[in-house]
Amino acid sequence: MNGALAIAGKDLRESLRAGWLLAAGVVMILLTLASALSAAVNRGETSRAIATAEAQEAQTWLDQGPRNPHAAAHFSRYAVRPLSALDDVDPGLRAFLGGHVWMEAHLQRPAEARPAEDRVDPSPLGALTPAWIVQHILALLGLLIGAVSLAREREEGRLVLLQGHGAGALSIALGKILGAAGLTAVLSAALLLAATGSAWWRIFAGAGLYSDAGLRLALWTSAALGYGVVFAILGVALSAWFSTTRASLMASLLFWAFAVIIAPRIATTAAEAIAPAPSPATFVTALRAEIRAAVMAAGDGHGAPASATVLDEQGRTLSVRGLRLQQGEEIGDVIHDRRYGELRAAYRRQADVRFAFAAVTPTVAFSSLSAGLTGSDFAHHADFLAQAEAHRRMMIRRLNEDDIYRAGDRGGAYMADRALWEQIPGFVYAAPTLTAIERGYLRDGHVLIAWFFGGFAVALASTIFALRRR
Amino acid sequence: MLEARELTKRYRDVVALDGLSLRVEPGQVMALLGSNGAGKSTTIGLFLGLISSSSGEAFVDGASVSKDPAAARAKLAYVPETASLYPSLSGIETLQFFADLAGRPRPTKSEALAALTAAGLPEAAAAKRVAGYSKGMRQKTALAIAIAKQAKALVLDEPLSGLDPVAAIETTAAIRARAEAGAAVLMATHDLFRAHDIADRLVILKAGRLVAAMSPREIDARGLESLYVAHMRGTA
Repeated sequence: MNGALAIAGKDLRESLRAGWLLAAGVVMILLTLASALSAAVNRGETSRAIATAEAQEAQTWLDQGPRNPHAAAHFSRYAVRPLSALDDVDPGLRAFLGGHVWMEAHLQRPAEARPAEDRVDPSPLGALTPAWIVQHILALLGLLIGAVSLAREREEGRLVLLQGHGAGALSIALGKILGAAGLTAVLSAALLLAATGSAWWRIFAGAGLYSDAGLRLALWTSAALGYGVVFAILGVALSAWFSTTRASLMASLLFWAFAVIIAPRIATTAAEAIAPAPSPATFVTALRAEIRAAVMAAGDGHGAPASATVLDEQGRTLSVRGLRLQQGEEIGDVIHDRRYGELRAAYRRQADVRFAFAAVTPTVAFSSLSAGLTGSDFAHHADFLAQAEAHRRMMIRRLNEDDIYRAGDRGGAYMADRALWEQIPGFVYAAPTLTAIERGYLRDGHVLIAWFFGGFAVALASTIFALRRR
Repeated sequence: MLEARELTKRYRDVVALDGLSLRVEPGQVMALLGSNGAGKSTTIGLFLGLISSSSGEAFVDGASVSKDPAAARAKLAYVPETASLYPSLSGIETLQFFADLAGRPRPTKSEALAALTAAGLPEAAAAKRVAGYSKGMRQKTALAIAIAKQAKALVLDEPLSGLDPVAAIETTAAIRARAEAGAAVLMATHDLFRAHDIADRLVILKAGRLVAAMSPREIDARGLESLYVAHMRGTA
């Protein structure tokens, strides 16, 4: 073990003295700071736009004037999901899924006009975010560090010197792995500090949104560090098979392209092919058709005689139109829940197919975990949609109840006023904790840990084999 | 002590070393002579455990290289033909690193400096990075690493190759001093005159076989050259 530590320490010292590493570190940190700055500027603009829109929307709702409650049910409101400091780190699918839902109280609309909902896990190409830098650049750097560590020693004839001075194959293998992993960890730590500094600051300032935002960011940082180290270890494993640095670097670049670029996209395509989900248009058309047919079969409130009333058990006059409208809503809710349950199950099947590709690249597990920890994955979006749908149902129930109890025989001529509008609160997003999200993230974490130990074992075995095969 | 017993190495149909037996006693310097491909580097590789023998055994101070490689390596120091050291480390740091590698107590700066200067490295160069060293300075640093190990056996592969005359004389003196301190020294070289000057025993290899062995006292340098050429030309 002394020999391994000596080699690792020497590698670390050598690399830290080398200009290329300093240059790479500075470039990466500048890149990360630029991405953090860009995210902060975007977040600021978006947050201001959200606040303005929410205020205007609330005022418009209150100022809609007297109208029949059912007319108000076609008056739209927005459910807005606020931004978190974690969005700066990994915006994930937010750009695809959006951060608001247009809630027309009378209609279930969440799946409309969101093509991303029909896809498995579309990666935001080209978005310069800390998560993107970790996923692409840190992985590349880790691989290159690992790839040169052993090949360069062999090429320059130093392996013989090491072995000739008492270092066994196990010591050299361990030393090289520890050296490459340690160096990548040092670089990653600097990069991650730059990447998460502003997010930590905002979390401490209370802008984390999630009550477990600190835990989420700590886990994300650990996962990112581990992800970089995994690639460094894989780089050492690759370098064991090549006798020149150039060949080792070429192999590493090819592996990087496969693991980081190609395999995740193949995974998405395969998921869509193996476990297809309906297109948004097909889904919504079928959903509405089924709801319409079921509601019509039960007697649509729109067609009820305006003056029809019944008495309840307390002798109150109830509007038949209002009752039927609410009954129609409840029939629709059941169909909505079933249809959306089926859609989500299809998405889960796709996610499972995609997850199977985590066996060939750690990028699949990391990207999934990263988006999950930062709350920008589909599971968090689905939770937001569920909250928005619950809010919509509360809205329509309150409107229909007003119609039921107060319209009497006036039917559509009944006008509610600001007093009713004020009784219906705006949507407030309840940010979930990690444990509250249906999709567990342990699976992604376990896969990354498996990659770490598996990569370590392969690197160790490859290096020892390569050193002993002479 | 270094000992080879019927040491053979085959690469498919090629016999790189064919039943070599030799013995280097403590305090003795043995020069291994031969043309390229004669089996010198293979012999060294087998003693270092870098390659495995097809048959036969190599021993370092009684430790079998194949059965107890760690013990054999611990008793052996090695100087390669081209000392490719770590350019960003200084001479002193290089010595300290190899001490760490071998699990020996790390020499202090002054101890490392003493070892380097004893091997002929200028004192002013010891604290500078190896990147700025000449080939001779690197070779002396490699020799200092080997000497600092205080190993019972020292194996050198063309240690004088490419050195200027002064550096060669200094390196030769350092090798001789190590032998006089009790180490068994095995040195592969093409430099017949230097070999005659330094060695206690001269061995000529041809096509993996030992074809001649003698003491320098039995032959002068010129005679050694003639004998060597005759063996290489197949006229001996």
